[in-house]
Amino acid sequence: MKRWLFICISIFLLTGCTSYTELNELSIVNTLGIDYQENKYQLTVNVMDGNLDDGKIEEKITTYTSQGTTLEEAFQMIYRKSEKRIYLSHIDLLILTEDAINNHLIDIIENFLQNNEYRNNFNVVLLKDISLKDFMEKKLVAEQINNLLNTNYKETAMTKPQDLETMMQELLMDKNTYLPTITDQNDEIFLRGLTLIKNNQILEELTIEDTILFNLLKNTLHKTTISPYMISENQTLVTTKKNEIYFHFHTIVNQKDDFEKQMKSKLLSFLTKYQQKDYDILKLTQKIYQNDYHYYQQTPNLLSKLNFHFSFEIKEKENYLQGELFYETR
Amino acid sequence: MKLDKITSYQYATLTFFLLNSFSMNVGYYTLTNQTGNDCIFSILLGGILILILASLIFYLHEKYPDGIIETLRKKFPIFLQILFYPCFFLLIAASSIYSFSLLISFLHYYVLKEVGLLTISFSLMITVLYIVKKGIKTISKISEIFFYFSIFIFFFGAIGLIKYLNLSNLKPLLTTTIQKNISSSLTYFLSSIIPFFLLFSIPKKEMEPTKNFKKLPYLLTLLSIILTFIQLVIILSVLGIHLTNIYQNPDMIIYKKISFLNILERVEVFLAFNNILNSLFIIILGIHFMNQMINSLLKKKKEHISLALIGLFFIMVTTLFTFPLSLYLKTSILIFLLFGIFILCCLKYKYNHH
Repeated sequence: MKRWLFICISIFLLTGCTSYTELNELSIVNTLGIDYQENKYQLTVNVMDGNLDDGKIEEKITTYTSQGTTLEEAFQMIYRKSEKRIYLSHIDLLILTEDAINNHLIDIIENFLQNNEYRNNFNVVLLKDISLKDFMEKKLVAEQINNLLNTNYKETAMTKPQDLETMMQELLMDKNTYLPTITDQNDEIFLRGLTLIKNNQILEELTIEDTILFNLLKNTLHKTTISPYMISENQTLVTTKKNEIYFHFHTIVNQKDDFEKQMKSKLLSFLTKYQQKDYDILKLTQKIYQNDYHYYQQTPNLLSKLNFHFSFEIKEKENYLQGELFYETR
Repeated sequence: MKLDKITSYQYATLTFFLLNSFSMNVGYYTLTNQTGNDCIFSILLGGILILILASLIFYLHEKYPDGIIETLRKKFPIFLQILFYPCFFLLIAASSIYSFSLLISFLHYYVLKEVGLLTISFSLMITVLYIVKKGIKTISKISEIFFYFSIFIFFFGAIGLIKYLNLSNLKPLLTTTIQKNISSSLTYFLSSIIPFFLLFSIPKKEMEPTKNFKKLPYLLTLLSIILTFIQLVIILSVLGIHLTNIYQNPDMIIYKKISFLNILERVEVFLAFNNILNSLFIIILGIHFMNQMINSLLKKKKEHISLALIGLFFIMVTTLFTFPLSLYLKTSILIFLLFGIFILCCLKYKYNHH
């Protein structure tokens, strides 16, 4: 009796074994691209197919495209084309086009929220000036684009990676966010400045210099060059007192001359430009909401009333060169 | 293994798991949706109320050591028995079914994504029934063993999330009205009614007679409140109030972020074990209570049949119906009221346990 009971219980406890899947039976989605053309979602998926070859798993990239009036329908079409199970948990990059954002950003995000297979911490980029299909057919691995973003973020501050969860958080706050932008130039991926999104619609693209200033103000700048200055370290402290915003910078630059004056003028014009456009690029009103809730509640059109103050603590970078750099030729 | 009596430590760990059922049965999102960031104060205020209730329950347990079922059967007149028996049975059944249905959907959604709901229900119910059949001593022994595991999982998760903490996400504080704060504190407090009721149903004769029996359960009640508070602070500071409000299990969402040196990743399924434990003990004790009630009527005849019927009933009901949170909270309020009447009746009939 006990033996039978043991067998019966084991059958139920080993339920996980009934639905196991071998790695080579999976199509692991690496990059997902979403476009919206002629009232239809255009879905392009780059999958890594695991093929068992002599016991080793070889990876090759296959591109699937589909379209549908809803994202679910477009996904269904992809499933119909793939002989393997489409596995979404390892997605590393989401590529959106301008049309997809302008038409259905919220629907796209809802789709990601509803599907539990995603992890929501993958990067999102905006693709410009090249069709999604053409771009995806280059069979790039998400890692290449992610590395391009991360390297530039750390070394030049010309971009800032954005993951889906942070993007959702920012959109839930005030419907404004930004996305790093990529394009194709002479058959190579090319990085552009950040693209701003306002009220779930694309607003405009920042220039490279504005992107650097954005990173500087956000305290996300590691090192960069704003001609003729080379910033090798920076820390930005932002404090608020009612509608007064204080930015304090601890910066190490190659030369101090006029740096403070020039930066102040650049930063002020950058912030005033977006203040006039009624776009809270740094989410400063949110900061006031956190720091002084009652003032935030009492003040209508708070963004237009903000005053900016900058202070710098500049250190010149040691270069250890002794004597003259150039010698007279004999 | 010889199991004589429930030690005070085992009883305390049982208290700990039953109180932690808040995270599954009510959920952090209920509080955050009610009071925003101020919900961290709700946990503190609700925690004080829970400690008061705990002291009352532990005091009453000393005074009426036979537990609810025995007291009802031995000392109450028949008309009161007819009133209390079905009420307690139905209310505990409703709350246990609610917990059971939440747990199986949680398992299906986060852990066993490919396995059908019915298969999960069956395998979970067989495990629960097996533990219930073994008796209260085995249940408390299991809770003691899993207590260490639960604490380890909690700190493992908390350490993994340190780098994602952004305490400015906790601001602004004190933005909601006092009424809302009190209401969400009461929601947290209500989540402890059924756990304490189930603890009160354990007869004292099953427990080890020690002088300091109250001390450890108090401490672990306090620990449960502190860990709930820390967990809520972590969730809010990692996700922010906006994202926390949209997820039913925000704790599972933050666990997905954990990565130790980019080597140990995707640990959320492992960490989900804590959620399973938090829900499991309230189901086990709920079914144990129902089984004890049936046994007291049938004089322990055909216990296995009554257990099997309870199991089948649970699976059937969870397959056919969905239960809203409001049902669980209403059940808690009803149990609280009935329990109050029960205590008043005990006083009226001058119950003497000697």
